Amino acid sequence: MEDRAEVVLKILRFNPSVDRAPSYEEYRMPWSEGLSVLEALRHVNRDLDSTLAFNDYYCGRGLCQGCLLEINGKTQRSCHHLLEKNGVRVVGPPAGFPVIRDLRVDFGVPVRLEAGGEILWVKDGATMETESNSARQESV
Amino acid sequence: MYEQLETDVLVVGGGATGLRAAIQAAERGRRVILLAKGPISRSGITPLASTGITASFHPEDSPEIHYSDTMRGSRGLADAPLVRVLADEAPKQVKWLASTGQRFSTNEDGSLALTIRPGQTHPRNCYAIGGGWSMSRSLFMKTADYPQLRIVQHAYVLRLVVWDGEVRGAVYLDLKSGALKVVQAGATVLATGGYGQLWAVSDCPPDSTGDGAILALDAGATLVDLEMAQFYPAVGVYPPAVRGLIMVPYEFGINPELLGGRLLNGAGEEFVQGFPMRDELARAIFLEIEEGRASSHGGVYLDLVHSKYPKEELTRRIRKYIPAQNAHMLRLGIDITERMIEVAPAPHFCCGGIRIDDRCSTGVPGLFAAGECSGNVQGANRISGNALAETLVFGSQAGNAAAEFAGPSTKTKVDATSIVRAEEDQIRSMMARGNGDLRPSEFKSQIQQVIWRACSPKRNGSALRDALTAIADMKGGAERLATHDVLRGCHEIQQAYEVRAMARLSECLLLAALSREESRGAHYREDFPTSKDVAAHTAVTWGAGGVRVGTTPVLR
Repeated sequence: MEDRAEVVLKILRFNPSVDRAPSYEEYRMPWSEGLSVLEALRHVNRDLDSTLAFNDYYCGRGLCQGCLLEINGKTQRSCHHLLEKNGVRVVGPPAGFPVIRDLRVDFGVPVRLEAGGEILWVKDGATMETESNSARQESV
Repeated sequence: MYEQLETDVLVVGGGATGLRAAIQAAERGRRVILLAKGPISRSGITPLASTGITASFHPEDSPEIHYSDTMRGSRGLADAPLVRVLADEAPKQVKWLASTGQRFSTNEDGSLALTIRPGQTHPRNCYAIGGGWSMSRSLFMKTADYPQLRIVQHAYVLRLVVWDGEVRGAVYLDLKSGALKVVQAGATVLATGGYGQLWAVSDCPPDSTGDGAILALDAGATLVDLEMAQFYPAVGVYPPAVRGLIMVPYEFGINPELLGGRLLNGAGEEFVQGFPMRDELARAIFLEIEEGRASSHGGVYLDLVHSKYPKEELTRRIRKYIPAQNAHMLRLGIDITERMIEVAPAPHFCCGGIRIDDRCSTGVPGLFAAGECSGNVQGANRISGNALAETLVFGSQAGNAAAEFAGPSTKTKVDATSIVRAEEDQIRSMMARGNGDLRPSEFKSQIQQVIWRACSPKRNGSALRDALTAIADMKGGAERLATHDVLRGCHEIQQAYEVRAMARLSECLLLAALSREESRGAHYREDFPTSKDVAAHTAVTWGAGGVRVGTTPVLR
């Protein structure tokens, strides 16, 4: 009898527009040598549940942090987090960012409130309205 | 009602080219909106780029030699005025990039460290520390200096707004909320990257689906040399952690002055002579595999284990030239000084694309294009480092040209309601099919298999014609796409639009490949194995009768 090792991801699902609260969904899949949490997520999305929202991106260099997730309570790069045979992980969106849906977050955009001043990260799409901007929109 | 934003210059695309164009237009005093499909520096193609960016800083080098090397490398297909701009402007743009805080490798005397690549007469590649990811990040941080530059991420442009033959902005899908929005713009720059995802295997990320090419086509622009998709010779095949990635660029790997390694076939034999450019090497590796001399997992071996450098020296060099890739591989248990990795050719960069002139004009009033999404700069074969140079040089050109075209005063608004309604209907239909047939990921997979088989480094007319039939048969699929009815974070709707663009672009690509009845650069046809004396661009346009293929002269 073949011993088919598996891994289990308990993934936090949440659509803030529709759900009253987040909830965990469990996904099982075959383990393989060198399986990372990011790769396992791609497997979930491709083969098990295409409603799962996450940043489907792998820079392959451990640089971009696009794969940041909270894994067993710690926000880290999921591309570097290897799963062992029969491993179980609790996976949620990276802490500190507004949630778009499930594991997809808004990483924000950099702005300076004044020339040469500190860089602030603001939620994406938020308008830093200035007087002149508003005037233009009104006149059209 | 739908939200309307208004600006002078609209930039579509959040990679190096888009960011550079947006910054330049803002420098010229214009209001700018940049729309990016995903989070900047954590999606798209630029973050995957390696470290090399060309500029003729070497004491024996010059823009003239950079120009002639690039023209020769292009196998006679690049437009001379564009290559002239690339060579002339690259040094200035690299210096500008350094001024944003992007770090470069330097020599002891503080000058930029340069290494040589196949096709270069003198060392010409500067080394951007952190590569494309770091460049992306440096440019992103630079945008914070321009309060009139607004970046909107998770924004997917569905259609350009064309009024009286002029591009006046775009309709986009806000992927966060699922709402359709309109940007009214005096000038629009497309910086949407390549279409490597048309192939089943590539080193290109899931979002490189060539949407911008279709936007341009529908607005009346011409797509040139689509068949010139450069295969990078050595993309990871095995072990799984390196699959689909360039972990050891061969330009470092087999350069005896850098890492001193070799490429070996399945029988352990060296089969590469010299330091070939990408088109020749990709074909050589492809043929080794096809002719039955592949490595265990269907590639060839990249061997640093038997490097001419002893292990300690080799490790030092690996840490110097490919530090991020090496650290990442070690995290995943792969030590390239101890084991060989297996590599094979896969699509990497699209030399062809939207035809532009030397000021990035597409010929359609109000529409500019730059970077990988544009054609006729790299010709039939691109030299390493010229792509990152292209992003800055032509990003800047496009920013300037768009700023000038838009002018200082606001244009009158155009009514985009009919476009918005049409796309709302599309989205509603897709969501109504819900859980059923046909899922975008499945349709994508079908297209990718067809293109992978027909558009390999060795092509022939019969396979291309079969592929064209297959794509035509699949056309109905675009009307049957089904997406889950989730509006917030609606990535599946994004995928649906992407695969529709892919299906149309596939047809254009196959027609272009069929029409080029010769072999040149990345396009090798076994039924037409020689090059014609004079090259011409293949040219695809869209009209009432559908796709048309013709030629357009190469500018000399």
